[in-house]
Amino acid sequence: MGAAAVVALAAAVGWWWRSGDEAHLRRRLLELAALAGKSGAEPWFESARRAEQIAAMFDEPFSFDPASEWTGAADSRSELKALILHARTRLRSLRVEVSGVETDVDAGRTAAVQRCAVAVEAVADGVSERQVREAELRWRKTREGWRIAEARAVDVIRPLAPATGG
Amino acid sequence: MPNGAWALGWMLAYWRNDPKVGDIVMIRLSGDRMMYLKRVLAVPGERAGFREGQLMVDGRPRPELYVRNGWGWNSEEVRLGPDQYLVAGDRRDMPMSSHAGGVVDRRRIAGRLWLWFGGGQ
Repeated sequence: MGAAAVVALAAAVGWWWRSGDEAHLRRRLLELAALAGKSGAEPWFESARRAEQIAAMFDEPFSFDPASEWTGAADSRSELKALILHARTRLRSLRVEVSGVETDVDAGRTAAVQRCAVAVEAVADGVSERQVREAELRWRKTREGWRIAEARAVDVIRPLAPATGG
Repeated sequence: MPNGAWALGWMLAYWRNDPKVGDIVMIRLSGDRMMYLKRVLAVPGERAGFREGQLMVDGRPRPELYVRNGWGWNSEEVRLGPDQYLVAGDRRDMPMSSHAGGVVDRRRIAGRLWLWFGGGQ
């Protein structure tokens, strides 16, 4: 009876810790979306500050591949900062909406996988464009806290390969 | 369907039946708030692709009366697996690379479009 109670208590504590991590990672994701957003013209130092903050959420080495025409891939913080700065300069406004966040924290609480739907609405040169994608983020626990090890777009609909011959 | 329109889906449509060619289906992303709306062009077991904008299925053209102003897509043909469907939107006035169309797994198909209203151009 006593042993069963200890096992149940350990399971409850494990669940409580993991749900705390899930809530924390969800907040971090929403923070990332808010940092990425832009509502109008902004001074260069503000763009640089946001790029710095976003890049700091990643843990090197990492993989960043949003498969978007607005920005390319990166695997270092300096490269990511440059990409973000370039994209922010090009875009007049950017709205990032995140929903359907599903987080799976591993039993050791050292890694987590997060999936979500992301709607991005961007305005550049007076033209507005909206893209909806599913994203997958892989988090790892570091001495500085949870950091992103991989961020990529998931192809829910896999495109057909363009014709090559004939 | 115009941008910004509200859509109502019948989520039990495929509880006992499978999607059919011509159905407009709701394709689930993570969660249940954002979905793609696409038309089913080919079903499991069929070999499908595009040639000069024409949908080709098992070597024969499959008419698509709902498509206007197609871009002239050209793609490799794929043999759809047992749980795979070929889907695309009806608006094809853009390069294939800019359109979210292609192969989707059955588990991602959440329901069928029932009706829609509102929205702009």
